[in-house]
Amino acid sequence: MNIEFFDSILRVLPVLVVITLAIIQLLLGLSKEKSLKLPLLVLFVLFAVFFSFLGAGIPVKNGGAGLLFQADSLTWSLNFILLSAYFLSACLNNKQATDKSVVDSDVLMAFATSGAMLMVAAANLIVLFIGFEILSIAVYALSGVAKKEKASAEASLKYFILGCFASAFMLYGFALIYGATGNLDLAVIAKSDNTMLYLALGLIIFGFAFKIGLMPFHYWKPDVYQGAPITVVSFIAVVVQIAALAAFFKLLAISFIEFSAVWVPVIAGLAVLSMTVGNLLALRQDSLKRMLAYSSIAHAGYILMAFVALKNSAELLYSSITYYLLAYALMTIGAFAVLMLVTGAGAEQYKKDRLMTFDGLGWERPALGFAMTLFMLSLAGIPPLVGFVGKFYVFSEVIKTDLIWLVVAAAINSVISFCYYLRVVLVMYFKTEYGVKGKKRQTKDSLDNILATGYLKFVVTISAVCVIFFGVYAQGWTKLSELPNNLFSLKQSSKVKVDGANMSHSVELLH
Amino acid sequence: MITFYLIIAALLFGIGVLGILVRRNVLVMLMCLELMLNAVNLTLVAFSRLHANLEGQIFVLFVMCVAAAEVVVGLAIIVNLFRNFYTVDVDIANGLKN
Amino acid sequence: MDYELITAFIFGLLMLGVALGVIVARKPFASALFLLATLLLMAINFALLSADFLAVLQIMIYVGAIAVLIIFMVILLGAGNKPNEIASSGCACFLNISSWLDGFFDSSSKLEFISEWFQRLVAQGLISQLLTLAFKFFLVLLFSIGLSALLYFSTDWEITLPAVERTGSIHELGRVLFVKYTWVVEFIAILILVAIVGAVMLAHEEKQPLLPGRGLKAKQK
Repeated sequence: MNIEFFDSILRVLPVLVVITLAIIQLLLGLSKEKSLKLPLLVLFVLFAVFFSFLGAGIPVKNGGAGLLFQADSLTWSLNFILLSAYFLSACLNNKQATDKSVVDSDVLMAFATSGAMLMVAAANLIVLFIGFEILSIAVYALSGVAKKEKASAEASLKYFILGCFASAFMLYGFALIYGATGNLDLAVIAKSDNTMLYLALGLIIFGFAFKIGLMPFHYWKPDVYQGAPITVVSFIAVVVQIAALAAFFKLLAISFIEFSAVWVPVIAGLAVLSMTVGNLLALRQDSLKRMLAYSSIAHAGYILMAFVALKNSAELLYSSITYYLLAYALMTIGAFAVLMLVTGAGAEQYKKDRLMTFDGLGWERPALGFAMTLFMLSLAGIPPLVGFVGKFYVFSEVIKTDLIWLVVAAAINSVISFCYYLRVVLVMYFKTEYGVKGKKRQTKDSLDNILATGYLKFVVTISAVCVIFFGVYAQGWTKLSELPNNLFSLKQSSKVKVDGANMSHSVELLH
Repeated sequence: MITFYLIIAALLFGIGVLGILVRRNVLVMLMCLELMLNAVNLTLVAFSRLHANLEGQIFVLFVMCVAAAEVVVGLAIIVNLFRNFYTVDVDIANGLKN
Repeated sequence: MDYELITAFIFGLLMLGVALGVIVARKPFASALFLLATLLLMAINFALLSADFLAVLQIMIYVGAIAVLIIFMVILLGAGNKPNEIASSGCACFLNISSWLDGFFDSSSKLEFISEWFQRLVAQGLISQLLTLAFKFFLVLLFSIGLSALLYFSTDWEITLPAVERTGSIHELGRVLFVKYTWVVEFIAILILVAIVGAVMLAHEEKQPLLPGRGLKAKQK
């Protein structure tokens, strides 16, 4: 065994750790042993984080698995966000709207996370596609977990059909890339110029826009977020969204960077459409889950806005995009955790998913009300919380390009979004037209497991703390994402570099 | 002649897209999905023949496996849907729009 | 006589015709059989492109497993009974113009001067359905013709391919597959495991517990 074997394993090791976790959970599910869940989860997630850290720090030779996977500080920061989002979602995953045990959804979530990690570590189109499909297939099955609920069955069907539809378009784009360049590696594609690549770019943008849920193709999102059980929705809203955005970002940043003049207007248009229509439609929603679906469409628009600054390719852009992704993850998971504490995770979550449920919550359960206020304000973008800082970074990146109208549109949209986020805060604290203030509500019936409530409160606390912490101390994230570079002095430069694997196919393979 | 296969594949892809947009039966939509994936496979094999490279065929192999896995999960979802709605008609199973 | 070209023409156009049968067939079972034929013809196309291993694999996986599964489902779910009407699909709602078309045709004041027969048609929603159908068909036609035209004009390769030795053999495929793409093979295994876990979770039903009396009697037999 020479050193290259270990090098190549190191790039894949975080994914393998999460897969091992999934398999262990699958085997444990046969024994109905519940108390091992959290220790296992913590152990394996920490291992995965550690190996991802190592992979980003230790320079590996570009042979063997280096042709397929990459491990640099961008991958490290994305893996960190994905793993923490998975950890929080898995803590939320306690009781489903079904009588079966919860093991299957645990297992599928772990596999889905491994697929997401494959996607962000991919340096080859095949690996990107396989990772995307592992993620997608696991999530299609997950969204139908509540088998007794019609809404869940319908949500999983819609998600499946439209998701596979989008995958086929994306795959056609990949096939045309292969046809134009004869190669499947992300970095090599960037060096060629062929008219067929424009066609491929169009198809890929179409496919990814579907998967991310941007404006003209967002129709599946509100239905799926409303229909799937709430533990699954918190996973979809964060992990799938971040992975899809990250993969799109990698494709545009590495492979299609020369075509910037072509895709920048398209991306800018999609971003503005998503922001505007997402915010406008969210104003009319009564169901919290649908409102959060539209808010995720709007936030995808904000993140997409940052892509237009890729041509300048400053290192600040990478860290600001990952910062926004982290912010989005924390806020959304927190909001879903609070929602789950209020509506419960049983079969009544579909009836309780209205604004009316939040009436007077601020006085009845003050800690929960405070946390929800934090999350709503952060989503709206109010300083000094993490949502505001993320938006500030993204806006400042876009201002550096010439597209000022984009920033103006985004600022107007942020103001519009205040309305529906603050409406939740208003309902919680002040008397509204529902007028049930003072009536005692049974909010703890479905969560008859005290341990479950403990998990949920833990998630809410951590999210709230991180929302404040990363908002106030934003350099913490930059330091964290640069940590492998700075700690391991073997790296030549400490700049954030997205190094696709170098292309020397034949020689280093057959050692 | 490669162009001929590419055009056939493009038209097949279009037929699949049309099928998903037009048909109401979920199983037929699944079949049209398979048509789309087959069109992509044909494109990949044609390009692999053009570049005399085997990576296209490897990609086709993986796409076939992915299509099989998708069909498995899709059929399970359809069975679940059928148990809830007693129909496979998409226009009937459309209750989430408020 | 370029036999290769003629064969490619025949099987390619035949495949397109059969694929049209998939979406046009009135019964879902007929669609499934047309799909089977399409997949078989696709295998022939693969063989014509000198990808013989893939041709065999296509028959084994697609025809032998996927199409069979779909046919099972068509039979089991009783979807082969009633024929489908012309209708617009609820899933692709971003192309559903029937809703606002219905709104346009609904205000009865506009329909005074139109004949009774037409009013009945509109009331049934048939006009909006046909318009939506035509709209979708036109869009997809535009898309696929556009795609093929772009492909035709952007590839300036000659009509006949140079003779290349057979490249689709198992030996060479294996060499690339297991040297460069080893990890991907492992992850495909994970993908299949995910599909199995998901399918079992969704489709499995707990058996009803036997009543005490019934269970004992069944055991004594």
